[in-house]
Amino acid sequence: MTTTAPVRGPSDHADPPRTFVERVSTAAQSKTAKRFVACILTALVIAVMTGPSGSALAPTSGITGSLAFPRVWWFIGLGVAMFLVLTFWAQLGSTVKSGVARVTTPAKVRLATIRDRAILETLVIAFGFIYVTWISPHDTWKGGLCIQIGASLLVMELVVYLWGAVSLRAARLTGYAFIALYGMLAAITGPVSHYLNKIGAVPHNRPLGVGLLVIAAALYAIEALLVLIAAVHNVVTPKRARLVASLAGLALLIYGFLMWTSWSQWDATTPNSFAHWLSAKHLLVHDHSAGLTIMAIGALLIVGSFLWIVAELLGIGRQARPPQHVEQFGISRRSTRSMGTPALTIVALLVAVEWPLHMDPASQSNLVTQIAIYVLLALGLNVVVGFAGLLDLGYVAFYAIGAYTAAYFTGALPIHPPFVLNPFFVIPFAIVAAMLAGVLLGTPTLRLRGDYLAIVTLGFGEVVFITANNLTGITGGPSGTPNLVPSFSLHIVTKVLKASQEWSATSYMPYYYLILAFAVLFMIAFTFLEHSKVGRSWTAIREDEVAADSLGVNALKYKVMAFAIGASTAGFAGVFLASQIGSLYPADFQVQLSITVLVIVIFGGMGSLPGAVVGAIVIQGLPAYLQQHQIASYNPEDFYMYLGALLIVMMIFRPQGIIASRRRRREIYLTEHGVVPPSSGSDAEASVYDQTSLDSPGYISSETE
Amino acid sequence: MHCPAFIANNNIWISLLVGGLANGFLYALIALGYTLVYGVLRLINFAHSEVFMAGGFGAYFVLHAILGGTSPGGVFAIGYVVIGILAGGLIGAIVAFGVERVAYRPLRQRNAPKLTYLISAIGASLFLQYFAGKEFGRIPVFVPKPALVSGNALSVCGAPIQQMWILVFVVSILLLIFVDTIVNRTKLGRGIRAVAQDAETASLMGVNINRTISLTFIIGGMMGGAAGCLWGMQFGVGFQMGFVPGLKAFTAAVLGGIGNLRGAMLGGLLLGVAEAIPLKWISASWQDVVTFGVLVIVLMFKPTGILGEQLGRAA
Repeated sequence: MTTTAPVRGPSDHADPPRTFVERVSTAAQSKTAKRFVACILTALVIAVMTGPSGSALAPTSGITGSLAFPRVWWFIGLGVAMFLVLTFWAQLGSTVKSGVARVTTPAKVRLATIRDRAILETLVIAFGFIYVTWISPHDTWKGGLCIQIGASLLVMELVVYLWGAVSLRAARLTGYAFIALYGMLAAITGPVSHYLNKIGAVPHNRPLGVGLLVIAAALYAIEALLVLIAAVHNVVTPKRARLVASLAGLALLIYGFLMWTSWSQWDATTPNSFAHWLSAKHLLVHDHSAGLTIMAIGALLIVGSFLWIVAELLGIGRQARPPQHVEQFGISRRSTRSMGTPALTIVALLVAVEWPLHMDPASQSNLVTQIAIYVLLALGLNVVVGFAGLLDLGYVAFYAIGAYTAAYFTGALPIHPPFVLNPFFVIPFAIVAAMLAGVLLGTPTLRLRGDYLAIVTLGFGEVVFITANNLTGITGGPSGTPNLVPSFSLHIVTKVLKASQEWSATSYMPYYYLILAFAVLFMIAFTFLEHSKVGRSWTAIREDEVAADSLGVNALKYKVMAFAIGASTAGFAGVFLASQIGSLYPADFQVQLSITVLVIVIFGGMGSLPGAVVGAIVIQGLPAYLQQHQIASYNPEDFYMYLGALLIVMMIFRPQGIIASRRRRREIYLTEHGVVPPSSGSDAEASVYDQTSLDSPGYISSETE
Repeated sequence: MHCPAFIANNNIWISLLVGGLANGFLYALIALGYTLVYGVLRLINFAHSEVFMAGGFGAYFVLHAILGGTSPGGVFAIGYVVIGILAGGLIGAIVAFGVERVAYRPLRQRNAPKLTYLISAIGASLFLQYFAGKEFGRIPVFVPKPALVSGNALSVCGAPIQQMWILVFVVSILLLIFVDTIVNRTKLGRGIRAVAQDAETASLMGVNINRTISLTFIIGGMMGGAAGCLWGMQFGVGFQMGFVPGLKAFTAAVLGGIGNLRGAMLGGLLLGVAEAIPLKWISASWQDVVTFGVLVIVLMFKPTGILGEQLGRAA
């Protein structure tokens, strides 16, 4: 389609171009030559982008400085490399892909068995121990994190295994042994446990260790029971095996109940109690909290074993189905739930909780001010752009409305509110204000075509900025709000509960955990929303509004709903910004901010919630990191230049984003290749996809949907 | 000149209206780029405001190199203005062509979804804006102009009329007639209208679609670049100069009926006047709010604009 080749008669084919000029011009017309020129030009543009700046008086100084001779060779080399990669992508890509598949497929198959996963997790724990012992004895938290991750995943395997009733005894035994070891190490006193405590690899109190030991012992008992059942397999049918298993669960339930109720038995100060005996043997500390811990474990045991019994009873008479892989529209999907997503979630949460504690203060500040708030914003915009497919370029306006609402109700503005509130109680007001603005703006404009919405929201963002700048009597104008917005604080003092906490602007970590908690809540809520009737309606509208309308989906209603939900999330984030920075300036709410959030959503993958988080970390975190450490002479003023280039490159090469939502991927594929009925050969479709796109189908096996 | 007392007492209106009309002509020139591209591709070219900015910089650099800060007098000095406008138009055309090649054509070849185009356009806009900021400095500068167009030309009932405004009127009217003739009278124009009506059929009739689209961008870019030169002489050239005039020109295009050439011209003039009138009562910093209000009102009550949408038919 690029070149409309001149129609050649048969005689034209007979004589090839003779003169040199003719040959050169034919070669220059070829696709390869064009691609070569494009690659070299792109590399030179990158050279200018990363080079020194110019000025209005010497406009060429930046360009000539960037293309000075020793420097430009690097970029010409880069251009040639880009050309080679693009040209040989078809061969190279398939070779690399098959090579990678040759390595990863057996690994994936292996990891599909619980035994190998358990071994891997044990290795992670072992690595953690090795890391803290020999590699980095002074910085122990990384090893501790490894140990925690491995241990949590192992326990998760165990739970999944117990519910899933897959017979792989070895994995189970590994898991139990580990728990027993973990508990033992935590419980005993001595140099080893002291050492483990020091590196944060075991729970910091011994009673928990004892509890783990008890659990492991109980599990071993159950395992022995199951071995017994397996030994008499000929006489016991699977149905009866399940009955026996549920009976075992019942036994555990009673055991847990006993632990829970008779906790005085576990209080070491009670004479002649079991705990007293244990503490006499130095297995339990003389501590009242021991009783509480045991009680908590008992409660957990009750819940867990109850669920186990229910699962086993429900499973009676049901055949286990093998997992099936379905290939359709170049996307592989699984009929059963995989372990990948929950495991990744656990790892991500553990890292998100542990890592920031050990960062330097500058990075912690970056994390809160540059990343965490943007995660909230991106999650909200993801609903608008990703779920409903509406391009909102004035998103920052709702953020500003939320922030100024917070400033109003905390008494930071020149005008005084009827009542002054703690930022916690402002949140509902800010959400309602932003949502109202969203509905008011959305109702008239969402009737129109999508591209009009983009420009109307762009204008709205500008109007809110101008208003904040000019209404000096209300907002304080360009010089900022006259008073400070107070920090979040909590003071609950009753007879039962005493809690007092202030999330001040100077201490970043409490603030970070507050945002983290809310972000997790938002992610859970939006996941449910995505898979609800509302989410399906959004998808239908996004894919084909006319068709959705004809099927009775009220398009306007759902579009306004998406718009309002996105707006209220931004309003919510605005409260956080206000109470964190204290003083608000209109310059904080310029239109570029909306585009930054948009880039985060698009980079991560439209419609993908983990994508929004990863996008915020990369787009906001990387420049902050470069600036903090003065790497590659990065100039923060050029940030938006790189963002713009990134947007174009993403749209050309990977429009679905880094962590693509499966639905989005399918949509883009269908738009580009036309709708093919699902029944017609799915393999053929996959191969077409293979050739036309730069990325492999089924690359994302643990999709975000 | 004798004038009635009530006009002489309210002569601020004359300055406001004539100045607004001059701005309106510039909006009309920029709006042509939006409306032509929209007619052909059904796409808002967000990067057009940066084409406008590039034209301003092009004119600034050429005139600065020739004049070097002096401001020559005499009637023939008007030739420098022509050079500036040609330079602006040329740079604008080059940038518009480049934007189409880099940001739109790869997507068109893949038949990508609509949202992708919009995002790519925003990316191009952002990139060009901050690239110019990096290379040419972030402090606005003025395009040099001859002394002939620096002062007031005449005064109507005591209201000053700037020479610059008259220059804008003359140049804009010439350019608008030029574009109108190209689109309505020439073979290229017929091709543009054919692609706007039905691209697939047009290609069957022998219209080279890619070439036509490139030429559409080039024509729009020329007009935007020329407007950038005239704008830069009055209000200065800076890397962020395109955003607000771009938004306003888009509003003008919608007001007249997007995709409609004469609609864009009419819309530009109407918007220029409409945003000048409230200046009697409010400060200039609120002017953009008026524009945005006009946009929302038009979209609510007459989304097809005053003259309707079709480039193929109505133009």
